[in-house]
Formats: sequence, structure tokens, C-alpha cells
Amino acid sequence: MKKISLLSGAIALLSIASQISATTVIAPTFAQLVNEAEVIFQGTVTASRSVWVGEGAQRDIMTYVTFKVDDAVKGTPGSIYTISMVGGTVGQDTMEISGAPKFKIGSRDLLFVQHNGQQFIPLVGIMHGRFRVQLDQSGRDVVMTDDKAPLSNTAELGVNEQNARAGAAMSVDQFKNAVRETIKQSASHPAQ
Amino acid sequence: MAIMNRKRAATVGVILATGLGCYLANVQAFVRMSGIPPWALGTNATFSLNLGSAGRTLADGNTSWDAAAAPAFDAWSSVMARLQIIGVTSPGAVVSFGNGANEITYSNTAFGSTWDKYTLAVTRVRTNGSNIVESDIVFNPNQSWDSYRGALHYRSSDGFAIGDIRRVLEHELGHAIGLDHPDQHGQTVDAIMNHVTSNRDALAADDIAGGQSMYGAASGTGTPTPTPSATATPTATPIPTPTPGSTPMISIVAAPTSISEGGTATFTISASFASDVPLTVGYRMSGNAALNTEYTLDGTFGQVVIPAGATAAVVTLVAPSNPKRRGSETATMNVNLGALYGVASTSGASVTIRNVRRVAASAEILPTNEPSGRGDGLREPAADQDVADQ
Repeated sequence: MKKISLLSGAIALLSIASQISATTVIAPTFAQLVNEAEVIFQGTVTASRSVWVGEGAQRDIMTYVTFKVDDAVKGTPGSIYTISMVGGTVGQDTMEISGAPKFKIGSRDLLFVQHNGQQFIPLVGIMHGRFRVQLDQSGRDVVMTDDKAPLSNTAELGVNEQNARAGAAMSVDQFKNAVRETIKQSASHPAQ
Repeated sequence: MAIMNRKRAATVGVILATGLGCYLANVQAFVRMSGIPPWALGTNATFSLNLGSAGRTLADGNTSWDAAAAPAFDAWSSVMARLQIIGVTSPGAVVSFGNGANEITYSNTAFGSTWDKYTLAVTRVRTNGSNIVESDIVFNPNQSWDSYRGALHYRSSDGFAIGDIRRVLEHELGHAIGLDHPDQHGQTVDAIMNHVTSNRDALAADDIAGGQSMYGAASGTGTPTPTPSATATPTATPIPTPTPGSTPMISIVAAPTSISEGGTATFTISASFASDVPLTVGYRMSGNAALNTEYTLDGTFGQVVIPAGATAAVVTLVAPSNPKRRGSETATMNVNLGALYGVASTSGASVTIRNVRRVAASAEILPTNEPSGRGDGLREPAADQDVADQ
């Protein structure tokens, strides 16, 4: 790597730094998830297809996952929304991005989307920008993390991930209300 | 993949302390990448290393990213018997998918797409259905990098960690050989393979156990035991006959008992009552399905830990799609005798893995004497459908 690239990177990082709130995270906080996402929605996976794209050295497998939008929480995803992710399987060729969320047709998710069509996994914090929606034993829709742990406390996301998963899963309605409240707060206090 | 950066914070210490506490009570294990077979045994996988000159003297005295990162290869190769990964400095090498070559570079894109701000590096793995045949690794040049050992260094500007090129490459090479992030699969364990970079700067016992589970232990290295561990290790002393009621009795249930290739089943290992200490239960596999070829198991092969206060633990079987599979195969798990538990009569369970063949997306004319069907000579369904051989 050339020195000039390092300098450019440092300058870029300094500019990024000003956009990072002073949180103590190893993963995005809930506020970062909400504020950095361009689109947030609850949806149901209706289709997934993987294809080769590009040519030569730029040839890669991309997977396009299509959702029926059940509830738009931020932005305007429309009624159908497709995300593109690097990786997937075409024929016998598999390009695996370990840690990338995997979607199955019929699965219900809450997605925090950023830079769709540009970013290799277009979710804030990659796996941290995907939450699963599942029915609990009482028939209530609840929120699980990408790795299927119950999400009990949004305030602990990115602060103490274990605490965020320490209790019973919160309901989808509670979760979406928390998102909407965060959007409101950010709108009224844009500097934070 | 994707190893994530982290920010310096007071909570880092809390997180580490919490993690250690859980680790003591819940010794867990590496995780294989789901559905990804290993490299063919006996492979020497050469990686072209083109990280280039650092243009400065790094914290460990190196002036080349390649030289600083190179020991990561030997860290893995020295503990595995049937896979060697070799780094060769190759100025000018560029990452290309599908060329059968393994390349490692800094890249302004993550395989053609933009980076996010939390990711240090990404690995992609290509398989041919039976084995990994290619792996490429790209580092995010938008992050800050150095080469140093020990505790993470942090940028003063924003508190993000400065990536240590060697430990990050060790992590990515773990993906290149087929390992996943244990901390994203419910595991709390000290490992270089956790998805957030940490103060760990070398392979942990759990990482080594993961590599050796696929490729065997290099001569003289043995199979490491994750430490620290509060779990009693069975010794070679005679195994006492358990007294029902004083020691838990162990049983196994498989669910479902029959899956198609590409499917997943679980073996639930249950104790008749909860123990005050973690209970390590040994098991063995048999049947005509080949481990690591026809199916994989999560966790440390041969043992599963039922946490203190719990009555069950689960081992997940994944049967990757395998075009060479013919008919049905069976994987059977049986409990080994142990000093701290008894073995119930239901100490074995089996999962049948059925071959899947694909029906083309076209109508098919049935013989006229076909006893069933639509009556118009067409078999349903006409669309693509996975069909399991019985």
C-alpha cells in the first residue's frame, strides 16, 4: 500500500470520524442503526436469486433478495424491495461471505438498509442490520437478532450485546415504536 | 468474512470480563461455515500476497505489509496435518474470482462493491460442491492499519481500533479454510475467529481445534483443549457404574430423523437432571454417511457440554448439497461412557440424509399405464422442485 493511499485513508477517516457519535460500540448502536439506515422496513422474503455479474477479474456472484414490504418504518421502500448482496451459489459455484445474513423464502425480517446496490452487504453493520421476526409461544411477533438470539433491549445494542439479549424477546411493535421514536429524536436533535 | 472493527471504550473491559465469565461456565467451540466443504485433504493452498510496502516502519519493525502478515500462514499450517496454506509475496497480484488462484490484497472495493465503515477485511470462498477450490481476501484500505502484538491500539481521532494486519489475516485465513464466527452462533469463547477484532493476537486453542477438526492435527501438536475450562476431564481411571438418581442419565434424540441434502437436523443430548457443573458428554459417530463430506457437526467433534443448571445441549448436523451423493445415508450418534454420567437406553439416534435430484422445469410425459398422475399425461409439478430420493 502506498503512502499516499494511507494519507488519503487517514483524511477519509477523519472526515468519517465527525459523523460517528461518541458511543462505545463494538457493533452499531440502535441509534446508529436507525440514523445510518436509509430505509428501514419489515418484510417477507418472496424471492432470492444468485447470478454471475461482471467479467474477468471483476466477475462475482451476486444474490438478489426480494421482500414484500409489510411495513415501511423509514424511507420509502415501496411494496416490493430487493437488496443485492455479494456472494451466493450459482450451479456448483458458491461464493461465501461468512457472517453475511442468509435469507430464506418466507422468512420475515426487519432490515436497516444502507447503500443498497453499492455496499457489499447493504445493511448497517452487515449482520447487525438484520433482525428476524418470529412468533413466540403465545403467538406474538417478536424480534430476534440475525444469529437467532432474542432481542430484549435496544438500548444495549452496540453497547453490551449480551445485555441486549439477556431477557425475553421484545415485540415487533415495541421494536418499531423504538425505531420511530429514535427517528423523531434525531429529527428534533439533528446534531446528536 | 468480514471481521469488524471496534471502538475503544470503557465497556471493552466489561465485555471481556463478561465473556470470560461465560466462557468458564460454557466452554464452547469453533463453528464451521454452514454448507461449505473443506479443502481436499492433502492440499497445499498457495496464496499470492500483494499487500505491498507499508511505506513506513510499522510498530513491530516491519516495513512491508506482506512481511508483517506472513506469519499468519504458518500459524495455521503448523497445526494442521492435511492442509498447508502458504503465502507467497506476489507484487502485482490482483483479486479475481473463479481463476483458481488465491489472492490477498488491499482493495478499494469489497469484491466490486463499496465497503461499510465497520469492516476490516473480507474473505470469499469458492467451492465446487465437494471442496473449497479458491479463496480470496481483501483488506479495507479505508481503515487504519499497523502491525503490532498484544492489546489493540486505537485511533485517538475517533476511538476506532487500528487493524493489526497479522491478526486480521489469521482471522481471514480461518475463513479461507472453512471456519465461521463462533460468536455469531451463540458461542462465548476466546477465539481469533470471533467477528470483532480483539486483544487476542494469535490463534486460540479453539481456533486450532477448528482447523484440526477438518484437517487433522499436525504431528506433535495434538488436539488442543480449550482453556480455561471448568469442565472436568474424564481420565483413564476405571469408569464407575453410575447409580441412577445420583448421576444424570444421558439420552439422545434426533429431529428430524430424515432430511434431504442441504437440510439440517439436531441431536439433542439430554440429562435426566441438571448438574451443578458443566457436564461434558462424549459421543461418537457411525453410519455410512461420511463426516465432513456428507455432513458436518457443529461444536467440538466428539464432545458436547451441557451447561451447569441446564438439562440439554444441541449438536447441529448440516448435510450440504453433494452432487456425488447417491441414495440415502445415515449418520448415527451414540453417547460414550463417562465418569460423571450414566447412559440411558436411548443413548443413540440416527439421521437419514436423502439424495436430492432436480426435476427440470418442463412437463414430462408419463407412460400411458402410469397408475397415478393428472390424467392428461403430464406429471405435476412442472416447475423447478427439489425432490428427495427416498
